Amino acid sequence: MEKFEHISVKGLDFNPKKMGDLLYYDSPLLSHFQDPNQPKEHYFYRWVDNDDQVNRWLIFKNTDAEVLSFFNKSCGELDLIQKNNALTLLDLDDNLNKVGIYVSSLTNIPSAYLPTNKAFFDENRYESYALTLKKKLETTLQEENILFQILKKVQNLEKEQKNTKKILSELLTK
Amino acid sequence: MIFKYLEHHNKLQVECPPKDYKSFKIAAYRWIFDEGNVQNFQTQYEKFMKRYPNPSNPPKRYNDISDIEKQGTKMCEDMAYSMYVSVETAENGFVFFLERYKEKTFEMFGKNIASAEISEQDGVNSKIDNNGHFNHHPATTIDYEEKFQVVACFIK
Repeated sequence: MEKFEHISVKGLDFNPKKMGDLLYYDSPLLSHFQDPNQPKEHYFYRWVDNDDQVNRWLIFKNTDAEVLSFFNKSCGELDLIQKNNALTLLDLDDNLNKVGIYVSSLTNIPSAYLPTNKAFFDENRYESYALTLKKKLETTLQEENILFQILKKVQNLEKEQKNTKKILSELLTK
Repeated sequence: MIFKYLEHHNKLQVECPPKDYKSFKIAAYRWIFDEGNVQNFQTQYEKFMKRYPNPSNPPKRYNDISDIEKQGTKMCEDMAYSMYVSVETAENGFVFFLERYKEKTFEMFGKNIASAEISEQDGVNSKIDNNGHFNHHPATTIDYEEKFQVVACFIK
């Protein structure tokens, strides 16, 4: 296993719920997790290493917009990882016992644990779950955009109403 | 046709191999380690089964209880060999992982492409996907190590 500077911690700072696998070959390579209490945050488990006892997973966190930009190929997997200053590495054994949890700065992560800058989304090679997630995020962002437009219109209406009131009161005082 | 993992297929919650898998003759290409390496024609399922009582094999690459409990399509796929229809498609598939897992790709999948002609008697195959990839559920009678010959090598 690669060696790297880190701080050992006792637990994860989120409650992971597996949503699906994005990359799978014989078993998961890149999986998507969410914390039910923080639905706007996306956690990705990227397999990076193993020894005879454990598999090591690099955990990185992204927002809806960042994940969507990956699916739209505006950024690659490396860019998603680089959005995090600190990263968590999790060692899981056969029975999913957390044998080690480490926090490390992005700069201390071994290069072998990171993808190249050519690792872009490819709908033909990622699992079908990736497209499901992409559609879900597109819908969420569209809905948020519509809501934002409505709020903007309401604010404008309020402004107009205030102006009308002002003009009316000026007319009345004259 | 008697499948290599018939006994295990029967324990799954899905029909394995799936109904739409067919027998056909095809030139097949597969990533392998050096010739004679025991991992060359071990399915993922077999690798994990052999971890006990031999714990020197790597642990299961799972990250959630749902991976352990899976008894469906994915587990059925774990009992199949991954194949490509040409050297080029096998190479493209390997490069895809190389771009993501660098040197680890060689540890996971080997460093050679081996090829053989698969016959109707050798097993059943999935449909060929857009990447030229298909799964092959092997029959009991075939010695794949004998049948497949290295045709290309990835240079580290």
